[in-house]
Amino acid sequence: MTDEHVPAAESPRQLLLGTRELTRQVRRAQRGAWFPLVLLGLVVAGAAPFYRVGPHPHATCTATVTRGPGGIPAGPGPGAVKCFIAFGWPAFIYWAVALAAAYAVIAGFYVLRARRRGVGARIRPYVIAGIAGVMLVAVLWLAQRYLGSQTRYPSALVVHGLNPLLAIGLALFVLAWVEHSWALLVFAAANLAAVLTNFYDIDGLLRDHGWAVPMAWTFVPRLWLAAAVLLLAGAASAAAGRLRT
Amino acid sequence: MTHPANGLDDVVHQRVRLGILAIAQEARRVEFGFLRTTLELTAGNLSQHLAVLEKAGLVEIEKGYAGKRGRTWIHLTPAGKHALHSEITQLKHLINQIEHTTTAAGELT
Repeated sequence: MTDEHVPAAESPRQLLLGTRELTRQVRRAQRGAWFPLVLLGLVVAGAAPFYRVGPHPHATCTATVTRGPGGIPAGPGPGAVKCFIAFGWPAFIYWAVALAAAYAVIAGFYVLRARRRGVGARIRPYVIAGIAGVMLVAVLWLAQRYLGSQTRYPSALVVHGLNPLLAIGLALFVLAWVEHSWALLVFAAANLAAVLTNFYDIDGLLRDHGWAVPMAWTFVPRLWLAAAVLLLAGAASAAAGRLRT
Repeated sequence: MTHPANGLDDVVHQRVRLGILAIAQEARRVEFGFLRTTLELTAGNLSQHLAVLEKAGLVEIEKGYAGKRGRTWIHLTPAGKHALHSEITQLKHLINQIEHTTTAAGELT
């Protein structure tokens, strides 16, 4: 083979365009976001039984509210007991172990994939962010459990023991960055907005439509909706990857 | 003022070698087979280009095994990163210069 020479006026542009195209090809070969999305979706779905075992906050929550015109809640009623929602030890242990194990499996998946495809991947920042998320979950859980106020710390934004979703959601931004994926960045932003606006706290919405969820099971639709969103995103990512190849 | 073409490195200013550096930069670690497929080269051609880059200290070549199969991995050295960055910058300058000259020539006619 000889060194290719192209007309002088086109050469620099063609070289640059060729380099960019090669970079794109490498990025396509490196992408594997479907796997963490699906795995974390399964982890979220699998958390439900652990919320039911052990002391459940609703069992002791006796807060009452006064209602204004039209039955709209107007504030704490007489005899209200301060009621904060924190998940118990079984769920805490589940999240800590399952999330740590999930990030280890994700790291393993990317390493094996890199060996098979022959192209390295920068997955370390995502795994570090994920593990940091596990620690965030632990700190928020301890704060919720022992400080007992929903208004003093960020977990108040993510009610009903769903702060692991916040940790998972924040780490997705790092995954979008390491994979150079705008689609994943948009999903991460939408998912985070859903978590912060309590979109996944849907039992009230279900009740309004005649689907009363028993108090002790309200976490099920919350967790499963969040899990479904991650699983669907994972499936979409896998399908997009297949279409590109 | 020096012409941007004077800043181009002969080792790097070549389609295949620039491609190798660009892939290695993005992948951090890339296998010989991936390079060969992506750049559509024969093993012999790729080896020659890699030898040039290795001799210039721009890449490091690591041989190992994956099971019983021999594998060759290529890493970019800090000098390789610098050379790639410098080449891209020079190419952009050159493109700007060409466009500027073409526009000026167009205005004169």
